[in-house]
Amino acid sequence: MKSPDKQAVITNTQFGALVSSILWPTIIGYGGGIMAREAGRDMWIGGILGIVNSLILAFILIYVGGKFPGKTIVEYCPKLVGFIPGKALGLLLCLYFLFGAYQSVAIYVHHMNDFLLTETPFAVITVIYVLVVCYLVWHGPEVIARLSVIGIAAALVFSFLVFLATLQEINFDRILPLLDMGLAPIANAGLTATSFIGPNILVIAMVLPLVKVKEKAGRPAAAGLLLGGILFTFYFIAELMVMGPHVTALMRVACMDLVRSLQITQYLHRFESFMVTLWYWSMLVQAGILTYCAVQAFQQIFGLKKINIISVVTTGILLGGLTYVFAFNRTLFLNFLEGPWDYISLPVYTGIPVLLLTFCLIRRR
Amino acid sequence: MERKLFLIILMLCCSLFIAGCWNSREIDQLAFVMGIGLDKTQEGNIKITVQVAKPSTFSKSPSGGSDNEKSFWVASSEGKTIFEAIRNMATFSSRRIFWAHNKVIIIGEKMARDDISEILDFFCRNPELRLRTWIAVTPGEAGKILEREPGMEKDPSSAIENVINQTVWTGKCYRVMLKDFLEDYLSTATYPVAARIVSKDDSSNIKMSGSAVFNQNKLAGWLNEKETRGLLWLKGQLSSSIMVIPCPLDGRPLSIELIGSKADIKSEFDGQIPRFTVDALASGNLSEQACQTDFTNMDNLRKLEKALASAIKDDLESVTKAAQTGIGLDFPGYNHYLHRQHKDRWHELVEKWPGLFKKADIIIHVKAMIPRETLFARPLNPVKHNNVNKIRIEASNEITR
Amino acid sequence: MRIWKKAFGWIKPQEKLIFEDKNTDISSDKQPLSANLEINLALLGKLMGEAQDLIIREFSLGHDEHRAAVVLIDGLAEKELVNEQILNPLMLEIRFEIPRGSNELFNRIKKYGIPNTAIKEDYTIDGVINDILTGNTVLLLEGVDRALMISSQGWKDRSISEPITESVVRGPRDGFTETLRTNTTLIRRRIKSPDLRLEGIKIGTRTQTDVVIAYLNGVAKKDVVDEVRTRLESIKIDGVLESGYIEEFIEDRPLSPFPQVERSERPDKVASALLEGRVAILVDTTPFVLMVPTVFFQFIQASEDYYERYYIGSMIRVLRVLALMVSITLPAIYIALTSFHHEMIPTPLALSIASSREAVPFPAVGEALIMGIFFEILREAGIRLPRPTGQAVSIVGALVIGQAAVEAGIVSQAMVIVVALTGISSFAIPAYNAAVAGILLRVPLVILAGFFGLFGILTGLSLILIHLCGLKVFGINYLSIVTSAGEGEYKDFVVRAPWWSMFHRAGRITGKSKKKT
Repeated sequence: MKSPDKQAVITNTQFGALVSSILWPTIIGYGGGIMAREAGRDMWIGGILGIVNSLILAFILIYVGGKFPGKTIVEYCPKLVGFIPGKALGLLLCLYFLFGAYQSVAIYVHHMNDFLLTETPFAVITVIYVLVVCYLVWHGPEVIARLSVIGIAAALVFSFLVFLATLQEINFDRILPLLDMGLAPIANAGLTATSFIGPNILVIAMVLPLVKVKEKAGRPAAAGLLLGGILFTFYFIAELMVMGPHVTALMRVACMDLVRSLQITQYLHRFESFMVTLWYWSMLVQAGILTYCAVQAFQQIFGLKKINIISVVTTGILLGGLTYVFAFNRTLFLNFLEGPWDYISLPVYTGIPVLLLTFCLIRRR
Repeated sequence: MERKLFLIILMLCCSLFIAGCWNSREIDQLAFVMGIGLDKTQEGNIKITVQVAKPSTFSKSPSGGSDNEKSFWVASSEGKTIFEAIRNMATFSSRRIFWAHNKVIIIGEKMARDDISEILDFFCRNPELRLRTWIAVTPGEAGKILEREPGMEKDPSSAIENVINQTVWTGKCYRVMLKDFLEDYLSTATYPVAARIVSKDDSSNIKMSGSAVFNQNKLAGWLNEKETRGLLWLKGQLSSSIMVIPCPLDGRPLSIELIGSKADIKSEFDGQIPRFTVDALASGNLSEQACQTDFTNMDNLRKLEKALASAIKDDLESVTKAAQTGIGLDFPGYNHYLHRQHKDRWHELVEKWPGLFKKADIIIHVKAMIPRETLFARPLNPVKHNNVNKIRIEASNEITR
Repeated sequence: MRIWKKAFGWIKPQEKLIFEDKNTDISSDKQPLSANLEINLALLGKLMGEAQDLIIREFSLGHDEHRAAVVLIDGLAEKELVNEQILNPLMLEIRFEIPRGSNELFNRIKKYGIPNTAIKEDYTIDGVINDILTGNTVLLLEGVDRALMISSQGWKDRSISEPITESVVRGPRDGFTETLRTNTTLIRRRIKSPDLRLEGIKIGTRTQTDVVIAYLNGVAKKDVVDEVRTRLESIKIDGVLESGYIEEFIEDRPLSPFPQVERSERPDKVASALLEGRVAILVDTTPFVLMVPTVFFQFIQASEDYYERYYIGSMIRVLRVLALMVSITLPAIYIALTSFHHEMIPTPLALSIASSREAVPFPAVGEALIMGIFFEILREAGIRLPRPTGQAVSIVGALVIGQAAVEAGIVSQAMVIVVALTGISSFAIPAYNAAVAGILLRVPLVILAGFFGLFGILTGLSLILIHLCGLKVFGINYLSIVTSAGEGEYKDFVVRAPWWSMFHRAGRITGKSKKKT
């Protein structure tokens, strides 16, 4: 019965939970503020655009992945587009996942270091958190998927609490009029939303071979995407109603400022630390699965099967290093997310699925 | 291998702990700031006054402080910036000043007339402070307000917080939280309004009365209680208030408690000039009457409703007048309706709005209903005859005559 | 790497923990019995070291001069029974012709002579000794190189009584005893099905303890039964005195703080485990029966949940989940709040905590550790002491010391409340071993909270949860109901659905989610 080499299996429910719990935590962190700066009171429509976009991409990935049962995107890329371009795409994906993971780690560390532990050194928090993430990655995708069930349960409690707290603050004047600034800013915000979600969508292509009933993987993926999308869109609306578009746009980490300005009756106020506790599990799952995907993509490029301790440790060091170098300076990190990341992310998360689909259709597989 | 990894993590974590605990602060080492007052000194420095609660006096145990001990401590310090003033406070405070439980920020008039953007910046930027803090402006010196010893509460700030919470019953003060004030401050063509707090010289009490209108970062003018009530009407924030109006028949005062208030504002364009139509709908309870009129008579009730409507109209007109001619700013937020209802036109004329608003045509219609007379079915006057019904008819006839 | 192995060599999977000692292996050198009675008896006496409780009764069969002997251990074998069923028929009432040949005689005695339900033959001296030591009586005949073992076990044992550690308000009051046969009887009485399988195995080279694997054939997963059998057979130890010895050998992760095997001394609980498709391991000389595979949530379930109406059962389970969370995290949360996240405490409470801590010299972490340790000492003292004294100790400990410590300003009132709540919550968890696991986790969490506040708690909790998610017990995920549930499994989770709606067996245990039949 001791068979660690056995292929990990993720049930379809866990797959759905995984997809939804990795979708929402980073985008409410930094995405809210960036999108409010871009689209003002219409940022939540940008969020919906992001979900619609990612649903389409997810279905392309599931369709293409269905043609290669038991293979991840990194494994079937060389078969579709040729050996060298395929491996190059795999490397690109590996880097993309690594970037997604580092952003996730950085955003969590920023939450901790800027709001709750302001005097603790950045490096200490980073190191401890990266260790936890590596421990999780070492346990493999099955454990991450199981943790995601807990994560999504916590996320639902989180949203329920936000809902309770915003009930007394509902103010539709702050999200009206709709389409105030026209469609272009909304499209821009949708682009931002998708660039935040991007790495998480591609996770589907990496995890798909592990799903138990692959023929029915579409439904949990769609349900997960919708649930995750509803979670962050709801959060955007709450931000707009409670703080208003201008204050949201003012804040670097808008989600924490929303919680800062909420209270549930007069007894439960300033419950940031409590909300962080509920939000954290999704964050951990996200960092874990993105790091896992980076490790796995790297190993599969070189044809290694089992997760290697050396790859995990190396990835951990890379994660910590990237976080320290690029995220210690908050302005640098924010500017990167606001500007170049959109244009780096767009070709990867849209380009790769579309490219693969095209090749798939051309080669009639 | 997994176990070894776990042990490595454990050992690394342990070694990190040895480095120390950076943020840890025992709760008894903190000075809980309950209220902040901000003033400008003669030299142009910022003077910050904090009111700190003394925990030992809040204890229920017999070993706690004696009853006569004051349960708060007021300290102030100066600096060129707020942050400098706060850091200067550490030079004489025995405990670390801790802001997270702050309830109110009171701004002195001088400071308010000068510039408040620095206050907003500091208090919203700092993660320790909460965005639900109430903001109030006082005509005098803010530091003085915090020294007033309250009658019921242990410390002035809790008292002020409770008084601000109570203003929903009077409708005579526009209360605003830091987060909403900030949103108004940041929005285009919106002028933030804050509560006005005054200390009555004869007693130790403080009073919430009226509101302060800001032109972006500067205090532009005050609103009295009547205008404030009108403002609350227009902003849709009036939840309850008492209207004292003269009896339409004999002129003696009556109190009506407003229980429902709703104002619909419609905007349209009359050429270039926008026109607003305010349709206010009020409902109230007759809570007290000094006159002997019998309002079970529907005709009399109609008259009373008309009187109430005209009183409300008066409130609304007074604030509109203050906005258009007095202070000259669109602080009631008419432009939001224009924005919402004529999105495309609005973007064209947003630059010209301050001038345009003064010319705007504002029409106010008020409809009032008094569905309840609380518990009584007839006015409180002694019964003289056996036939009560007869008396009632006679009495009403007498008055109508 | 070698230093590494030296330092952490003890952390090895179970296979390597087993030591091999060839000399103790009895089956390897079987010495046959001799045909000479004298030699046999002398050898027996020598091998048993002329034991003081060894009874060797030599006699002659009937009127004949054919010599025979019974050997038994005083106390293990019931002497009444030996007199009645062996000596009486053979010495006084022998009913058949005594034949010439010794072997013929032996067969006749076996066939007609002994009115006992369980007899068997053995050829080796070691087999004879084994049987004598389990309480059987051995009959040896002159001129026969075989021995007849007659079942005569009859030692003094405890009668069936209510289990003290698992008392219930509603439910059967019988509990297992130290005798294996009584225990199997108690299970048989509840499950009258031929599918109930009891497989015997002996563990312990010296104690030769009888261990029984019980399962319901066709319900239990075959893999699990095989795995249990393999793991039990691979145990190499000289003595098994309690089922705890076996528990440690068959655990999947010996390093985990969480208990991975459920134990109970309630036959109804074991019977219900068998009906769920789990495997029970009964060990002689202990009333505690092990049940595998166990998932985490079974530790907060008590048998009473199923006997009371489902509302009551569900409500109590909700309370237990709460108690579990409180007992693991409350002190850590208190520390995180009072030394890091002061903003979250409502203002009046913050002020009153601050005032109660004014005179306390230690940081909150120190306070929590001191109080926590003393609480556990008090609890331990209360368990070991005789009952009347134990109560006195807990009263002195709880009331006098607690009050005095607060008055003296050593600890704050708030901390006393927190520690007391934590302690009481840990009592609300039905399984003692799970409650102790809670203590093991509480202390690191307190330390982490003392250093990093909420971040520390989150780090600690995530390590615990990752470990739990990765834990597999006999191939079944330890957190399986929480993180994955099959058809109908949520009906027996935090909320227990009424019996008439629970159609399915837990698929995670039986391997297939099928209807109950």
